[in-house]
Order: sequence, then structure tokens, then C-alpha cells
Amino acid sequence: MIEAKRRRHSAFPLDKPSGRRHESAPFMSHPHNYLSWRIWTVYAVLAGISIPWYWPAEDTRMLLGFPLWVVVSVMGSLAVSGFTAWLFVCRWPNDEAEDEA
Amino acid sequence: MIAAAAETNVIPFGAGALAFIGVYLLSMVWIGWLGMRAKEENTLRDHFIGGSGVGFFVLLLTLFATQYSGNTILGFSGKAYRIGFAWLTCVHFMTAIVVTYLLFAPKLFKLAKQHAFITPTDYLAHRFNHRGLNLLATLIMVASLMNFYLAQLTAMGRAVEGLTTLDPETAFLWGVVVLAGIMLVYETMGGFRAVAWTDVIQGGVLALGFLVLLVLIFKEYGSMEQTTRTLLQIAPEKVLPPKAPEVRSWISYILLLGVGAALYPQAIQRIYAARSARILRKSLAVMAFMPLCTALVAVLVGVTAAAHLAGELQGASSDAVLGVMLRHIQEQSLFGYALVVIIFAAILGAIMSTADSTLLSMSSMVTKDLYMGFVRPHASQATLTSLGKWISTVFVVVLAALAVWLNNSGTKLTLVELLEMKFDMLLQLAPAFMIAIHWQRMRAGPVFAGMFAGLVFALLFFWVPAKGDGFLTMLKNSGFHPGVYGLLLNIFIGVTGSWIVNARSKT
Repeated sequence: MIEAKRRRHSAFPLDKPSGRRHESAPFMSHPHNYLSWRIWTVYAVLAGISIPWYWPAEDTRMLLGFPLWVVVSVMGSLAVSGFTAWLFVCRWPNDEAEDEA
Repeated sequence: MIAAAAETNVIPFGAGALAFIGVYLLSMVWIGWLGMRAKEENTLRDHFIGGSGVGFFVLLLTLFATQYSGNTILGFSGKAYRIGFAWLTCVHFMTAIVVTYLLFAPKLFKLAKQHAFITPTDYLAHRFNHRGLNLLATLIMVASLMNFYLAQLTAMGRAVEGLTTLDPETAFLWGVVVLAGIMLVYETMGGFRAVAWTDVIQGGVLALGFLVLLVLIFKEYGSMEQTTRTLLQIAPEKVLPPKAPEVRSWISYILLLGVGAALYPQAIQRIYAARSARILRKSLAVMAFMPLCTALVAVLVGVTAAAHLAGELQGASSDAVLGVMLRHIQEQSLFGYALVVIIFAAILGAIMSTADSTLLSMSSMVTKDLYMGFVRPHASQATLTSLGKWISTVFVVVLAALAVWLNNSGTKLTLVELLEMKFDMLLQLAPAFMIAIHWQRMRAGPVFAGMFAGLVFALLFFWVPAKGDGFLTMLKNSGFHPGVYGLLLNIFIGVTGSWIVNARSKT
């Protein structure tokens, strides 16, 4: 009961409770759910933003004293850190539950 | 993570500062003694993993101190000095290490608790039961760690060189002997507990060092805007966005280090050592933010130096750029001098905390996976624990002698070169840990063949000429590291081989 409540509160934002998946194996309650394609799509998008492949070669714009591309890249890294921390804290696979020794 | 091989170039410390450093080092021995008293039983698991495991605070700081070494301060700032803001990639690959744990840490932790794993090879033995694979994986890990440990011993010697009025070679020798000796004493006494508990102090001082460094840089060299504008004038390539080959290099670094460093044996053993899943996941969550507090600071230091100390250092010597900056700060005031002492203590702590965990990990693998695995499977736990301590001693003596010999012969490599070589090897463990832990039909034979082929292919690149028209030369100059190509071959063999074996066994 408590476990089900905890799971509902920390549902993954992109996970719509629809279709077969939810009935047979809810997206985030499945063991080792860190392999979900949705999670790695988020990482791919964040990597696409963080890695400065799309900036003009002679871009000299600055923000807060840094080159603009550096600020965007650092923000992307911060987003990766935040997302990763959230996954560890809220989405740790259930079968690895709180097995205090 | 990687040890630094850089001179500190600070002004020799006075008696007060040396006494402070001395007390700091002796406190490590005291902690080793406490670790010995806390010992629960004379077993391999107690010595190498700390028995039932460690709590959140200790796990977080031992993960931090082990992953961030002298190289994070010295090597990363040196590289940023050479290439500018483009070295921001280090923030991303340090974050990628924590992201990679998502792929295998939860399941590996569970298996480790169920089966009382001690070494990374214990998992492979449990999963594959293939002696050839155990041996190959252990040799890859031990070879990588020997490289790692040697670099750290060199860093210890270099760190001490500028501190005394002794000639550099004598100071290097004493630095290696005293620091490695202290490390060996506390590790032999307290095993994993001593290493993890000293990491609490070393990690704390390291975090303080980064904070002090950040404040000092802005105070001494002005705002970041001033730095960026100066660099735009004198070396615009260090400010402008990376070009296509550099972007490929970013991606390669993120793959190579993100995956490779997550497979460091000492990092895997820290997953085993967490007292509970709750403690592990909270520690990893905090670790996800550490690159922004550490690697990013090192980049800012390097970029600031590139703007204000342009052209003062070249090649491997540029790893010493922080030392030159510290010397400038030290000359300003007594307060600046005191802060430099703190930063120096942080550098020493960073080097030692990584070195001690590396040493313990090497010793555990030689004892458990090689000696117990291949020579005396039925040796008693007390015998093996005692042997583990002797093996640590042999590693320290042999590698310290090698470090001194290499220093006297004048051989120098930049830190990032050392870093890349071992990650090319460690990366080849990835399919066995990250794919096989989820895909139960992955077979031992193909995994072994893939690991071997990937390793040989990656190492061969060191002999491929950098100039010419050949296919391998083109790959070498593509911006991707050899280990990444080796890994692709490795995965291909491991996965397709398993499919073929599975299909044949069905028929």
C-alpha cells in the first residue's frame, strides 16, 4: 500500500498510464527500469544540447562573463545531474528495495 | 580519478606549514589504527570491503575522494590552460560516470549482497563461470590500476619537490617514500575501513580546497568577463566553440571515461560496500552534482591561467600551471600563504585517497582472483588476508622504485595521455558488466572473445602511424579514442556470438 502510494507520487512525467504496458508491467515498477528508452531519450536530448556541435564557429557572444556556448553547455550538464539524481532517489528499481543490512 | 604528475612550484613551506601537513598525514595513521580496532573478523571481506558496509556519509566521501584525484585539480587545469573552454568536456565525462551507474549499479549491488562479492571478478565468476574470462578481466583491471597507481606515486613525488629546500630528485624520493609508506601503514592496519575513513578527511579537505581555489582565482585575477575578453584577444581559439573534430573528441571522451571510469575496480567495490540500497542511491545522487563543483572549478582555473600566464608553460609542464598560480598568490600575503597550504593539503589528500583505494583494489584482485582462484582455492581466510597485506607491500615497493627510476631517467607523459591509455583497456569490460547483467542469454565464450579482440584492437592503435592514408590511420585521426573502436568490435563479437551460440544450442 505504502509502496504503491510512493510510486504514484513519483511517477515519471513522460509516462502516460495507457495501454498494455501499464496493465502488464507498469513502466516504472518494472525491475531495472533504468533501461527504459524514455530515460535514454531524455539523456540523448540533454547531450544534444550540452555538446556544442551546433554553434557557429566564430560565435563570440557572452553571457555572465562566459562565452554563451559555455553557459548553455554547463546548464545542460546541470540538467543531466538533476535528472540523474532524481532517477537515483525516486526511481531506483523496486526489487532493489530498501534492504537495510 | 587520475593522479597528477605535476610540480607544485610553490615557495618552500616554513616550519609551521610543514608541521600542519605532518599532523594531517599522521592523522591518517591514527585513523588506520581506529580501522584496525573496528575490525569484526579476520576475513577477506572484512579487510577489502569493510564487513557489513559503510553508511551514507562515508560512502559519499569515499566515492568522491576516490573519483576525484590530484588530476582533477592539476591535470584538468593544465589541459584547460592548453585548450581553453573546450576542456569543459571534463565536466560532462565526470557526470557521465555517474549516469553509467544507472546501467548496472542497482542489479550489481543486489547480487553483491546476495553472494558476498569482494572483487569485480566475483561478479564475472558468478555470471559466467569461465576461468579464461576471469583471468583476462582480472589482468586488464590489475594492469590498468598499476598504471594508475604509478602515476599517483609520481604525483606524490612531484607534489613534494617544490616544498623543501632539498634538490628536486632527493625531494621526489622522500615524497614517494614517506607518503607511500604512510598509506601502506594505515591501509595494512585498517584495510577498507581505514581507506574509507581517511577518505572522509581527504574528501572533506579536497572539497574545501576547491572552494578556496574558486574564491582565490576571482580575487587574484579579476572577473571572468575580464578573463574571457583577454583570451579572445590573445588566443581566441580557447574561447570559440569547438570545431567538428573537437566535437567528436568530446563525444569520445564522454564514452571512454563515462563508461571506463564507472568500471574502475575500486569504484565497483564501493558499490559492494554500501550498507544498503538507500545509502547507495543517495550517495550516487549527490555524486551527480560533484563535477560542477570540482571539474568546472579546475576548468576555470586553467582558463584564467591561459589568459593571465599565457605562454609561461609548455607540454607536460603545463600541468604545473596551478602551482605557478599558487606561487603568485603565496607571494601576496600571509593569508594567501595559509590558503595555499590548505590547497596543497587538498592536493595531497586527493592523490593519496585515490592511491590507497587503488592499492587495496589491486591487492584484493591478486589475492582473491589470482592466488585463491588459480593457485590455492582452499586457503584459509586468515592466510589470504595476511597475503593481501604482503601483496600491497610488494606493489608499493616495486611501483615506488619504478616511479623514482622513471623520474630520474627524465621520462614525462602528460596526465591526459596516461588517463586515456588505461581507459582504452577498462572500457573492454563494459559488455560483461553492462549488457550481460541484464541479458541472461549472453554467453561466456563470445564475451571472452569480444573482450580479448577489443583489447588487442585498442592497444594496436598505439603502433598505428599518425600520418598516412591507411584505414587505421584514418580511424586514429578521427577524434575517437581507440578504446571506443575496440568496444564496438567487442560488443559485436559478444552479442552476435551469443546469438549464434544460442541458436545452435536450440537446434
